[in-house]
Amino acid sequence: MSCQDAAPLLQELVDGALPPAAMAQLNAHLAGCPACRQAYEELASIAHVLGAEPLTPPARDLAPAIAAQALAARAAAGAMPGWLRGVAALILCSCFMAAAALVWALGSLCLGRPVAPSSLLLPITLAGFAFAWRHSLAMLRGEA
Amino acid sequence: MTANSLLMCTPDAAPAASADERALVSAARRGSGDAMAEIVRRYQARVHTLAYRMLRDREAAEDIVQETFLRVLRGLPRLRDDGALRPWIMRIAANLVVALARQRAYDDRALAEAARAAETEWHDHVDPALAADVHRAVAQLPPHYRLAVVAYYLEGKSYLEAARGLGLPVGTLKVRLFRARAMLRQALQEPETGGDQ
Repeated sequence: MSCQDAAPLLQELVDGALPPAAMAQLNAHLAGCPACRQAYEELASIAHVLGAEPLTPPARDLAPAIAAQALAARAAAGAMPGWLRGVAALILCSCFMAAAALVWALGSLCLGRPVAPSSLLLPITLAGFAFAWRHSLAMLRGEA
Repeated sequence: MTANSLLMCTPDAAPAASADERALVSAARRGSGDAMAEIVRRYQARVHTLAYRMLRDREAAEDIVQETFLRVLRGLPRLRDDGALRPWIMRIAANLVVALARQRAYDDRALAEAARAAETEWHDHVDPALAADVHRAVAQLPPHYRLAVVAYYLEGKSYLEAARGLGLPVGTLKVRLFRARAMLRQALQEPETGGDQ
C-alpha cells in the first residue's frame, strides 16, 4: 500500500469504520511509514477533541413560545375563507402558467421549433397546473 | 480492494423512527399545540448545538432554533415520511446555519468564543490548549466543510445519519470530512496568525 492509498483510509481508521482486511493492510503500512503514522496521530487527536464536546442546549426551553407562534400563524392562515383562498390560488396559478407559457414561447422562438412534441403539450400543461395549484394553496395556508 | 471502494462501504445503518414519533408528527399536523411543543423539546438541543458549533454565538443559535422549528411546524403537512422527521429538521437547520455562516466569514468574536468554550466547558480528559487550537481551526473552515465536521460529531460519528441530516450522499460527506480534516491538520501545524482575543 502506498502513502497515497493510505491517506483516505486514515480517516476511516480514526472513525473506527475500516473493514478488518483493509485495517490489516493499513496497519502494516503504518508500521513502516513514520509520515503516515504522524498523520494518523494528528487526525486521532483532532477527532478526540471534537468527539469530546458536549451538547449545548439553549439556555431556556424554547418549545412553548415556538409552538404558540406556530399555532397563531396557522390560525391566521385559516382565517382566510376557503372561497377566497381558492380565488387567490387561481390567480397565482394563472401567473405561474403564464410565466411557463412565456418560457415555452421564447424557447420555441430561439430553437426555431416547438421545445417539445405537440402531443405532450396537454399533459405537461395539466401537470404544471396541478403543481402550481398545490403549491399556491400550500402557500396561502402558510405551509410553504 | 481500492482505497476509494473502501471509503464507500461503511457498516452503518439509520435507526428506524419510533411509532411514538410518527404519532407525534400526525398530532402536530392536526394542530395539537402539545405535540408541536414536544417536537421542539425533543430536538431543540441538537439544533442549538449544531448552530452554536457552527457560529459560536448563542444568540444567533437561538434565532436559528426558532426559525428552524417555525419552518418545520409550518411545513409538516408536506413531510411525506413521518419517520424522517429528525433528518428533515437537521437539514432545515443546516441550510439556515450555512446561509448565516456565509455572511459571517472570519469573525474574531466567534474564534474567541470557540477558544473560551473549549477551555471552560469541556471534559477534563481533553487538553484545553489543544481543544482551543482545534476549535479555532474549525471556526475558520469554509462553511460547508465546517458543517460536515460539526454534523458528523453531532450525529454520534455516523456517516449515514450526518449525510441524511445534510441531504448529501455518504460519499460526498466523506470527501468533505477528508478535506476538512486535511485543512485542520494544516492549520494546527501553522504558527498562530491572530484571532485570539
